Amino acid sequence: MGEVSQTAPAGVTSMSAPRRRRLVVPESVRLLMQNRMSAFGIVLLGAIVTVTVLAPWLTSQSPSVPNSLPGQPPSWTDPLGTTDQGFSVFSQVIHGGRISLVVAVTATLIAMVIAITLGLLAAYSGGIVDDAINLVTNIFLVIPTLPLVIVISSFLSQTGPWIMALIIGFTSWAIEARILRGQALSLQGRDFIQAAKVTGESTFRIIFFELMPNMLSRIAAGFAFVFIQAVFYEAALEFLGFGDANKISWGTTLFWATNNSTLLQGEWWHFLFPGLAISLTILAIVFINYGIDELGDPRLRQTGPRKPNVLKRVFWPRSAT
Amino acid sequence: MRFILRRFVFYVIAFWAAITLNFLLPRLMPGSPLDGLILRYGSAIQNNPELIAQLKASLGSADEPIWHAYPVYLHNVLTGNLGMSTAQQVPVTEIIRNTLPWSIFLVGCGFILSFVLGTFLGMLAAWRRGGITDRVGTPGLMALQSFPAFFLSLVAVYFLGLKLGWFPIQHAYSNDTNPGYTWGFVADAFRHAQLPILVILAISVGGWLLGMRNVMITTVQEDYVTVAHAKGLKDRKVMTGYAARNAILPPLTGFAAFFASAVGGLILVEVVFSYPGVGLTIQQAALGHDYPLVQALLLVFAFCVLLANFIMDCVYVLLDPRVRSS
Repeated sequence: MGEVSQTAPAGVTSMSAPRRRRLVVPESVRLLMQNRMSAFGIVLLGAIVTVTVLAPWLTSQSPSVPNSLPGQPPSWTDPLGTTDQGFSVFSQVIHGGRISLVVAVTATLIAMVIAITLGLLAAYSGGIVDDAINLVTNIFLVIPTLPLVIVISSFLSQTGPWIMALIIGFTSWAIEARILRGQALSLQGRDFIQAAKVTGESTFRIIFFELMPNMLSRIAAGFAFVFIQAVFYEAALEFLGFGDANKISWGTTLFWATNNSTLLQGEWWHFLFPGLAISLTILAIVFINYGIDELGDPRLRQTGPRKPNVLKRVFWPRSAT
Repeated sequence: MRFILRRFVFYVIAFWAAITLNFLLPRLMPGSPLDGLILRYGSAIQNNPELIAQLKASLGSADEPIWHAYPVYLHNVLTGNLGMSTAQQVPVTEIIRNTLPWSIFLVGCGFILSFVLGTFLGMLAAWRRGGITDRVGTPGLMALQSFPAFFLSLVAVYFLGLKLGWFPIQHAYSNDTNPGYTWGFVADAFRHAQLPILVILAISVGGWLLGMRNVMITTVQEDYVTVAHAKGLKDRKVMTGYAARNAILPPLTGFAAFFASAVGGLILVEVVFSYPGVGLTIQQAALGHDYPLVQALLLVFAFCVLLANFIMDCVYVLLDPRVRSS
């Protein structure tokens, strides 16, 4: 233990962490945990990720082997019921999170890399590069995403998880590119950027090593925002039948739940639980995002009833007390 | 006027980009979509040289260079010649004419209701920070918004439609009514649209609420609101006529984002409810690889969104004198 702590935290101590902690929680996460809404989101997201990662150890039933009676409501043996092919819904939901979350995270990474590169490049270069990138961004903003994604998937003969991550990533970067460009514009007149320019640093270096580190909080917020979109589009595509229906994920479980008109036969457990899993994941990020917003904008932070009695105190001092 | 003109030029460029994207997509994809179609539909296409020529024009083929096909494609789209549906063997424009009104009906009602309700609740929430609307309404509707449209639709169909029997759960009108402008048919259509509209309302009202609330929180701190209070105006008058009136514009700029997500929601809602609009049609066409229809519908979606945005820009200019003068 002693040896590790002497070598490893060298970078940490230089980043001004006066008290030594065994587990270094980043300042931002600590701030978010103090906000009730984002703390709830972080705990919820942590629970979802933990359950999906530990899925094989949490249930002995395979999600893709029918080993119960079909169409059974929730019971002790099948806590969330069974599908009309006899798969365990519980097993499908906790295993399905793996593909859903991995696709969403991959798509988010792709979208954010595009958004950061284009947004910062536009802001830093200015002139015709800025105009061109701005035009492309605005066009992608107004072309509706879901129809576009549907059309692309229909041209591809098979849409596996990785292809899907690519498609979603390449279609959902525009909003963040615009926001990051706006923020980079306000940064790029600062002295340290001018200094870097004068010393002859390359555009690539200035964008990724000077500008980007100063925008990490906004990038984190953008990550959360795009991730919500990605979870939604992944599930929507699979639900609409454009995914690989043999791979188990939340979206495909939903697809099967409606495809065989099990809904009309009253099998509510088949659609309710995968749907709740998707919704709770999105909800967790929404709450984290709400906390990020309040941290960034102090005006939203102060709560409690509005005080119109400031005026009363001025004009009718006695009645105010 | 210059603002409007600038926006108009942008929307024209955006629509051209959508057409070009539509032209390039099948040509960029691995494999040949046309071969896939011939395999799938077989004789229905092969015995019809006219259809083959037309499919080649829209999907691309090896024997025609891209710079040759592109002007032809542009010309076809601009003259409204969108081709024949391979699955249904009817002109694509006819299918669009039959399905688009239903979708506009759904989105239109959903938009108006969610804007009015969301803005009103946002106003109340900001006026009484920490009051009942703010504490329950804001997080509640935000939570509702994080439920994906298809999930909310499924829950609505099951619990409100199937179990409680309050709403019809499928289609746009009953099978035994004759479409036409009769009172019975219109009432029936409204009845069938209630639940889909309710779902669209549920997924979009939170956005308006939050937008209005966050802007209004800053306007209630403005001096003119203080002055209005000082003049002794009624609380409600200050809230609606002074604070809300000035807070209502910025959220309107979020219309583009609302509309883009509403279109996504529309597709999902229509699929769940088997509602015969463009959303259900594009899903069916894409699953059946009916490329002419799919491509045309993407253009329809793009066109409608651009048109709606342009109308909104005009409304904005009418409402905000500052944009008009600059």
